Amino acid sequence: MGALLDYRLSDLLLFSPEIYQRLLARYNGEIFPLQLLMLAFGAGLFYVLLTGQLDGRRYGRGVIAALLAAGWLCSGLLFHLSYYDSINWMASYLAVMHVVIAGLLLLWGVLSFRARVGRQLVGLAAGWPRIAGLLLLGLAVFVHPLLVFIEGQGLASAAFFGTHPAPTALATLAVMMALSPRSLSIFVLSFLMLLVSLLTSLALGSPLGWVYGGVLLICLLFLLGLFTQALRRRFDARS
Amino acid sequence: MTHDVTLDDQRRDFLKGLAASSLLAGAGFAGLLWPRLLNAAQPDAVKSEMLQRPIPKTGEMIPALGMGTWITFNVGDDKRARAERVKVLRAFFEAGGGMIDSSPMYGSAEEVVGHCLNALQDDGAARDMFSASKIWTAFEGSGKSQFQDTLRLWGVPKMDVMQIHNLLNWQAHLKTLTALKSEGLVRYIGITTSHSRRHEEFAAIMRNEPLDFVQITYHMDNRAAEDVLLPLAAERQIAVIINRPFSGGSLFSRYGDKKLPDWAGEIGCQAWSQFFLKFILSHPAVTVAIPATSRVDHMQENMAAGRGALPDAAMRARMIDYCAGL
Repeated sequence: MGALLDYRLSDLLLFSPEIYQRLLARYNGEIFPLQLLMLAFGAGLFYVLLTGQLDGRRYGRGVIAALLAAGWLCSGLLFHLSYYDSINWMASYLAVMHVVIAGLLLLWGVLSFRARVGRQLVGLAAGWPRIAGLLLLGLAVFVHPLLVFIEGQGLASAAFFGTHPAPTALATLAVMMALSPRSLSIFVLSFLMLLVSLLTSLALGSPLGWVYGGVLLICLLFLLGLFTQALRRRFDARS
Repeated sequence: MTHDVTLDDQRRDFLKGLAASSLLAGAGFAGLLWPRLLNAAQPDAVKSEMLQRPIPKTGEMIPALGMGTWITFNVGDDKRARAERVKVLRAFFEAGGGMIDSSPMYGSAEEVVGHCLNALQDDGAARDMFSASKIWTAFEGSGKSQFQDTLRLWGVPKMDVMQIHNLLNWQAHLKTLTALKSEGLVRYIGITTSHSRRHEEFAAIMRNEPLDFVQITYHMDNRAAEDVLLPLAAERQIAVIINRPFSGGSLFSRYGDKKLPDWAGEIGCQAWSQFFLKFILSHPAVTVAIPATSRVDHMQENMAAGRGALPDAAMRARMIDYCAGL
């Protein structure tokens, strides 16, 4: 088993950037206009978070969870299993992860219906995570498709929230950062999935790796903030 | 004066015309056909010039240049890329290539190789193929089913060489491959590594197990195999396949924009790719090198390294010195 750990990042890149870009273009062409539907879902998500439309509503968390879960299922079953799997044997495992995250999201959404009123109702978090979360959600939904230009590609190979893994993971991280209460398990799994996108981008030599790296750094700072908060609470409780 | 045209005259003119037409048509036909005849004859001539190397255990001769499929043949369902790979494979066989090496690890590469072989089936271009693939699974029980998948994907009844990819669970898979060899489904068995840091373990297996082939990385910038593995292969009569002869393209990044030395012409090198390949092939323990490419022109350029003179020991030292000085 030690042999499996002997691989370098470059060993695991099994395809050329050219073939990957063409696969993205073919995928986008064949699923169109699903991207527009998912863009509408993402825009709706951004709107309700920005305006606080769902704050304090009992079904608020369920709606948010359903929109994100639709994205994870769609990008997992369509992109990974039906397209990416043809050039990367890891795609089927990634698809399983997408289904797991979608399941956790739905569970998180459903549980809110059983929660006692006033305790588990969704609302925006306090402090910088709220701002950062909203900005990252805007990046995931509206800006990410345009990042294809920094790769020197056309819109045909653009990656959208809900149909492509990286912006879907990015949007989930953003929502979990901006909301309170949040699911840490979903946050951590989404973090790992964006890490996979970061490694793929680095192996392909794509500048998107810098964007994902920056987002993951913000997420780490956020987790560090949560951790120190928890430590402080514990310390205060003891004293 | 009138000019009466008799029947004989008409016949004579007709015959002259016919003869002239025949000559013209013949010349035209020959003109059209000649390049095709040349092209038809050329590959055979080119093929016969390809350097051949013996497999030490049996003495069977195989072309010294083969073809890798890592990255280059993993194109999935991309129709345009598949059509291009068929052309690449045709160019490979036309230039006298033999060994095609792949692995279940390389995504769709095995399936694409099978597609290309099927496309070339009618004109017999692939009749000289020497098939090589690998077992790549951590689980002993999956080894045989992976081999069956390889046969199905390639569309062949048996494999010439089966190797254990990067020593993954090699103890278990060596038993499977030995059994497949005794059943006649595999002709030669071996192990591979593309990591220099595993050479010690690799050498131990070479010393203790009955291997026909090993596949290792060796190129101008990584000559670690010269210390132990290559001499050991010669001593143990194990054939050697050299993977990543261009270090995954990094040799071109480092040297590609530098001037090829004038004396490279003495060993028939017109391009850096040929310089690097001839360096590898000139090591006496090397059986075959397997460069990978997705372009026909690069394939033709690579395969030209398998023809003509190879550097001797003095020239090899000169090549090393030249690259070190760049």
